[in-house]
Amino acid sequence: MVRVLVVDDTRFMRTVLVNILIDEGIEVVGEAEDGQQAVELYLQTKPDVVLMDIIMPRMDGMMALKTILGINPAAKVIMVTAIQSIEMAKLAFKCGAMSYIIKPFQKQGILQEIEKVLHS
Amino acid sequence: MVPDARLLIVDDDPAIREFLKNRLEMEGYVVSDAESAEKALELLTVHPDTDLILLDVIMPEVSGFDLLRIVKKDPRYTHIPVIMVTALGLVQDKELAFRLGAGDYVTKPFDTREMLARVQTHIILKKKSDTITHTNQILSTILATVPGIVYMKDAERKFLHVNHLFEQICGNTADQIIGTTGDGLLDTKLKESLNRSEDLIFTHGIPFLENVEEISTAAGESRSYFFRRQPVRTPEGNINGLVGVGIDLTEQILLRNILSDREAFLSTLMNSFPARIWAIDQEYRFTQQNVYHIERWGNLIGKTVFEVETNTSIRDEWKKRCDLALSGNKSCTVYPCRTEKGCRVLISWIVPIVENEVLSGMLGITFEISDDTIRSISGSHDACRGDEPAYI
Repeated sequence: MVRVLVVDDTRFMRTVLVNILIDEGIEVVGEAEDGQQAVELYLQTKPDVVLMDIIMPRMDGMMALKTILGINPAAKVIMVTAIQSIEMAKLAFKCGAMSYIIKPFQKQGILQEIEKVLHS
Repeated sequence: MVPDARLLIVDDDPAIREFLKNRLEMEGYVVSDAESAEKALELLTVHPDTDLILLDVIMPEVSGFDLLRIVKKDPRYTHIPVIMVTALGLVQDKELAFRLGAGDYVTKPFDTREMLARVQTHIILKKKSDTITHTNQILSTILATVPGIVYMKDAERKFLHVNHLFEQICGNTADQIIGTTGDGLLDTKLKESLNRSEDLIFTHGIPFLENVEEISTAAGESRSYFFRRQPVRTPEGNINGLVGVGIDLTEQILLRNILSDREAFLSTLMNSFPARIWAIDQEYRFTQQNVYHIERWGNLIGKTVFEVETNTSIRDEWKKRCDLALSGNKSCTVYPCRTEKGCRVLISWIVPIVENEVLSGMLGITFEISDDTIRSISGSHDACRGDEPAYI
């Protein structure tokens, strides 16, 4: 069973993502509301995939991405963000993100990307 | 190999001075000599970069021990190693010399090879110590110049070092902070927050951590600091401390939050407004698409308008209108279409995007009004009393 960690500072967005994942039979191992909690939960749960928001308080998604890849260079992190910027996406890929999804997203889009990064 | 070095021989016996000077010069050293303590101090003023002093003990007027005392008390010369060269071989004399700060003690008559070996060893040590002093000077300059907080902790999480800015922010001196874990000195919230972040390094051994800490300064101000912390490891790889650097980003974070609010507003506007909205840069490359545009044309970000799958006449029309916008003109065109599915009208605006008085691309908004739309509008219009304006 695929295990996913959901990271977003808005409860609404976490709920939307969690519902999409649960409906598909994907296990949500944790929900984090900032990057630092994401790092802490990553260490505890070792998920297969992390869905990571970018703009968050305390530790943003880019800092968390770098830290998680510092812990496990093979970590699969998908950025899920409202920032529609090619520059930002390029930067995320350069830092080691596996994929970049722009909000609002389609349910299928999220599932396809998870599937894609799992097999890459 | 003999390092480049400057030596000073102090002896009242000209024969010994000459012998030592010649022998040491043969080794490649630069050598000065003085027949008295007074002359020696004169030469030291001229050459404060002297690397080693060979000093005779028994001299008329000021003795070697007295000169040693003077040299070791003078901050300009205290780091210069001194080898005492003397016929006095008593343990008490040797003990006194070392107590006064001599680096070595050689009794006359001496073996030349042994003397040269001792000289070389002391010069090598002096050069190493010079390098360390120099590195320390660089480090302390860096620590004083870094426009942020720098601190270092040991494995027990006690502060080993804090820089000036750290002292300023927490309102305590380095002496009060160093050696403590920060209990009672730091703001409780900040201390909890630091502990939480440092746990990740000390307990989980993660290679580094970057985050933003909210700090209430001693002046009662709340500031946001971007921190990076890294563990300090022993040669065996065990964590025995950490270094933390924090930069004040309060204004930048505030600005980012304002921009992110605006971004959220714009993104909501773009995606809830019932029109296809898009933007392209000056190379005709798509930079923005709202959900309705993606629904109609698919994901085009990064592609040019010429790569969109459609017929040539439509593409030519787009090119014409984009060129119009790129020359700074707004345009609005209505396209009535009749298809198998029925009639529809497209209303399309293309406007130039101007950033800091420079044209950077263009924005397009396309409304589609179909038979269905018209039917629903006329349906609601029927319900109007007739004297109200019809809103479209």
